[in-house]
Amino acid sequence: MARAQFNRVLTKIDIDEIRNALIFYYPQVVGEQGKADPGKYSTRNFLWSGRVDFDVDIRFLTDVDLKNVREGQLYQSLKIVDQSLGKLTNTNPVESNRPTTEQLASMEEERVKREASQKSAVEEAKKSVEAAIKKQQEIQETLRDKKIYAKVEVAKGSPAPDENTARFIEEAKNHPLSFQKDLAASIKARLASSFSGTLTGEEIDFLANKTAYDTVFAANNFTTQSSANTQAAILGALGKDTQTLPKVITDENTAEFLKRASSELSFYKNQTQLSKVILSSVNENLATSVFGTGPENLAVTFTTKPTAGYDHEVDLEKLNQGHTDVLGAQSNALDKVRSFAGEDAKRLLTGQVRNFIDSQITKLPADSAISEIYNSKVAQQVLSSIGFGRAAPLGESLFGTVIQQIPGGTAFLEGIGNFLGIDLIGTTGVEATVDVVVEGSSLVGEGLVGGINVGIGVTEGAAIGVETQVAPKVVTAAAGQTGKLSLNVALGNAVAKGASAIAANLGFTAASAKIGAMIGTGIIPVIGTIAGLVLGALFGRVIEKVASWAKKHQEDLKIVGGAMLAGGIVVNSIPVIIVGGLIFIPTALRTGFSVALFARRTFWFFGRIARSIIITISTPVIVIVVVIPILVAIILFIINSGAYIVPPTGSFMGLQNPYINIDKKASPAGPFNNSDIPSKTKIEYTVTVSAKKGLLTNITFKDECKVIKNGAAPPCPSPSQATPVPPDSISPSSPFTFKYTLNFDSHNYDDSAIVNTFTVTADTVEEKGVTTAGSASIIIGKPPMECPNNAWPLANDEGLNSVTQGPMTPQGWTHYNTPNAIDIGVNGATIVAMHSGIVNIGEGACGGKWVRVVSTCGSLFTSYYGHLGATIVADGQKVTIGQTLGISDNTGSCTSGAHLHFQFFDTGSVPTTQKPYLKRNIPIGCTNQLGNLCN
Amino acid sequence: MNIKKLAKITLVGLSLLSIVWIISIYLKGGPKKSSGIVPGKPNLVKTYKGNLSISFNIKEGDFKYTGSLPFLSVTKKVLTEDYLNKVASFMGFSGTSTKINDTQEGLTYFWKSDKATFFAYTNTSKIRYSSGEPFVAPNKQLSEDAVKAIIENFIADSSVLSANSYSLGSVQFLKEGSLNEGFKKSTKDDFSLYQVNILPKSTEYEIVSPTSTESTSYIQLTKDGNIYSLQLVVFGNVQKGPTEYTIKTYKEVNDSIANSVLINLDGEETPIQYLTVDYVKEIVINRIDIAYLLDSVSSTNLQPVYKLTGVATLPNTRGVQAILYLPALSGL
Repeated sequence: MARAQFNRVLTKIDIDEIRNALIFYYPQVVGEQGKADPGKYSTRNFLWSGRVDFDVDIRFLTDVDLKNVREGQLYQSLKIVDQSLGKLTNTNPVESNRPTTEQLASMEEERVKREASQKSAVEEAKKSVEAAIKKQQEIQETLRDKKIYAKVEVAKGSPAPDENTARFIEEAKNHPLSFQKDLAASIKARLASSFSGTLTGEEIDFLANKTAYDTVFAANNFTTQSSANTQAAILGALGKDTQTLPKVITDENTAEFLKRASSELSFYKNQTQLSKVILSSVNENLATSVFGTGPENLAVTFTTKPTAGYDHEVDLEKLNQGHTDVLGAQSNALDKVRSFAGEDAKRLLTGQVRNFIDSQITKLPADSAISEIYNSKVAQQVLSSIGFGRAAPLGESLFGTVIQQIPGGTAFLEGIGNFLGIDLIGTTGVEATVDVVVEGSSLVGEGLVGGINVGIGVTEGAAIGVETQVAPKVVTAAAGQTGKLSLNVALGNAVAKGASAIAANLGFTAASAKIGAMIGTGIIPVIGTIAGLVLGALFGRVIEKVASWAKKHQEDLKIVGGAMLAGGIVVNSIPVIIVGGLIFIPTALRTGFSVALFARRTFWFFGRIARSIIITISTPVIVIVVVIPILVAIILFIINSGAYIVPPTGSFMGLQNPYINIDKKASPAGPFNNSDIPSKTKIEYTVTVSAKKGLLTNITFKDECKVIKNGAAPPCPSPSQATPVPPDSISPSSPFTFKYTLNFDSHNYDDSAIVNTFTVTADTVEEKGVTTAGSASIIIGKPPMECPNNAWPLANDEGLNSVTQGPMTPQGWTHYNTPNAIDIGVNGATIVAMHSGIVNIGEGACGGKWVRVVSTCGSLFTSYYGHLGATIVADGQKVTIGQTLGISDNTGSCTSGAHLHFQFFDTGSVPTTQKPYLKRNIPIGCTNQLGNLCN
Repeated sequence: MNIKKLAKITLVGLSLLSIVWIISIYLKGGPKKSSGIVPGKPNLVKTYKGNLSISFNIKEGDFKYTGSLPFLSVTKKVLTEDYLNKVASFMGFSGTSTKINDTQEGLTYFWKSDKATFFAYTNTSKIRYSSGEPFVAPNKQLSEDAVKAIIENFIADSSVLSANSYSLGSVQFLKEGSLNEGFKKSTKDDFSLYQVNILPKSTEYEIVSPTSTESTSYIQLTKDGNIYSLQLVVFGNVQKGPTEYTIKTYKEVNDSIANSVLINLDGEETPIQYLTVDYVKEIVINRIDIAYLLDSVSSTNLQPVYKLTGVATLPNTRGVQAILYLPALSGL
């Protein structure tokens, strides 16, 4: 019947269809297990009645008689079929490097066991989630249009910043990245000196970076911080309210739920408190000035009706909505979990996971622990055995050592052990229930993460129905960033109450007294103690337990670690979970959220994961399918946190550099009138290059001078002396200084801005080829105002806070090594010229429709606007600042969603994705997809 | 010779003449082999300023393209306001469109809602729909047949294309790149979007353009089967040209590989014409396909081109995928 189908030359499409059929009838070809004849299969061009029919055609096409192949030879035969099909039209084989039959049999055995256990656990969880959703919907109904009103008064205000603090805040605003980095280094040094035995280096890095980031963010967004404090105070008060809420909500269960939700949300909105406490030990005045009056010092009262003074409207319906959304997402996640149990699971592994893991691994330093494991011989062997063949670099690693260094790593091992049936930790189960429960009538849940927790979740924006504007209006729901609060309320409240309370809540009574004493004196170790306690609770109470065991079983652990990382069992769901389960990550791509938010959630996840794994010991399948992959993902994020919490500043951007300082001054500095030429415009430039941290060697200098003016700009005058030859080295104690003069003696320089940039590249004690730059500019007359100045490439500042990627992103990302490029998440928005200039237009396969404007304010700026849906300016057309250029869209292949790619070209060393060129500073290296957020 | 015999001979003769005539008619109507006349080159402009070092890393035994191919003769559907309003309305856009004079594609109709945009370019008979919503959706585990059925229903219900004027390519599974922006081909176990290319009925080859190295017509669905984006070049009529032209052999491709035109570097936002002359160090071609080239907005005769896929070495990065086009017809 089928042979007639091949009475013609086969096309590539035909072969693709036959290949699909081959996978359908013999899933072994892609590493899956065989099954009974699945019966009829049709494509656009072909039809087979069943496997026997298909075998006839395969024999016709490839001379391989699958029907009579012995079982042990089947895989080899399928490989031959696959290769033969490929040769028919030069298409690639389905895959290469298949597992052996023995390996497949072993995998199948594992799969069957896993699947049976998984199925029941997942279904149970699904039932619970669905019940919770139903309950939530009922609650939602009772909350429809229910509102109360809050009055917030300052019980105790923050002190005014002292002179030193004011200077710090100014620095944080003017040089956010360098300030953040310096502050993080300072905190890190203190933590390390006091708690090197208590906290791991990664934990210290994480805390230091988070605190520094929160500080800089709060300093630059004081209103946002104050608003968060106010919302936290309102939510906290609502959680305790016994007067007003019962008048609005008569149903006890609903009222109880709302109170719980509010309490947790209160902590959620209060997420900078830990940073505040940590910063307090460095500079208390700075901490209170930057983070403002905390929720604990705000008094809140409620009323049921709009009343003067009660300016904050609390929309109870919206408060609940986030939880409902989270449940919906959890239900979806469970659907995905179900699919993992299906026969396609291994195909997923062999086809996609390796790429993902590779990409994650390559982001890590080559000498990092994870990289070492991944590249170890054993891990590579495991990779090969499950179909991920690759040249196996030799390498040794000590997974046991690594596991002690990874936050939550012990719990990780525990879960793996449960799955494999090996007691890796030496402990036995604690509880037998899957921690997805609906307790009685209240919706209390704890436990699992990654989308199947039935606990109280929030959708930021959507969930927090508290309007903090004075005007009595309802806050509109922001595009939902779904997250959830996994840290328990007790801990959250405790953080707000102070370090002693934290210790007490965590059961560290001895430490509690110690901390209390420390707080009394305000001595520095408080930071580390708090951090240690919090991290201890969150990251791994059991880390010590595994340490000794791990040392004895290093080789086993390597195998386990390799298997896990290879994705043979566990990691398969990482891409899916990250995209689907960790809902906040893809959402963040469009809406953005703060790094602090990500970091905080990471804390929570760890806490919940650590608990969940213990709780779910007897249901390892859930651990394997849901918890572990997330843990792995987060470990990778955490390990790599330095790359996204503190973006690589790239001194290229002219921001402060930790190793090199360049001070360039012009004297006189101006500004000058045109009539000052030439009497006052002989400018002496003094350049001082100093080393900030250790010796600079292999130094090169580059001096650039640009004149910005309307029309053709003259070249800069020749300097009185050439750029000097750099010294062999510059030490911190002996800066290198030189001077030269530029004489602007011609009226060619009327109405000009002269930007003079000095760039130094040198090897430092820690990095090679570090570059930084310093500029000095003078103004003569009235330079053109058409240059980008406090501008934004979208009309009405649309997308001002929707930046999804900044310049100079980490290696491997689209804007890697790309200065002055940003992505703004908008769709159908009006694109306007950032400055005057001459237009080029075009369309490319990657960038889609684009417009380029070459500045007329000098040769410095060329702006580029990509992925447009329409261009309304023509080649060669002159445009002025603010003139409409086109409409944004999603054209071209280099886009994963509608956005504007905006970039300045030809800017030399000038950082142009910052103020004053743009209306806001774009964090260097930010990329929402990595969690290093741009808004 | 009697009259009867004469009549018989005449009848046989006429019959033979008729057969000859019919055969000649038949032969006239079928595709002609090229008589050696080489058509003009397609409109492929080298925009990269530097000299490319291109190597062809495909073995002769793996090169399967031989013989000849015709041009593809196309007409484009006139996108009337009535037609566009109907499609836009079906896509969920209410109200009237904004008319834009797009400087590259002429009169363009533009709709925008809170969730999506819809562009219709009249000069190129192209329509584009883009959702601004996240593409994450519940996985309904749609079978490939179900995906195709959704698309066929959409096409039929929206009347965006005429029935029987198109065929559907196989279902592709796309996933956003873990590093670079853009969707990459994936598997049905790990994907974010379905994509189905829309092919004219009369060819099995993709239609590509200098601005679109994949099919110029496609529909993307989210995992729950909703339309996420689409781009369709709406042809009125597509048919194979009357003459078949010999296509380049392996040797000819190898010999003329330096003439191929760089069209795309994956992840490179800077337009190719503005890349520095030493930006692309080398390109190694490891895959070759045939496609028809829609080389300009006004093209009506589409030539086959070899679509060459390879790896380009760029400064400071690992290799990136590069796509080049080479006229497929022998002698060009």
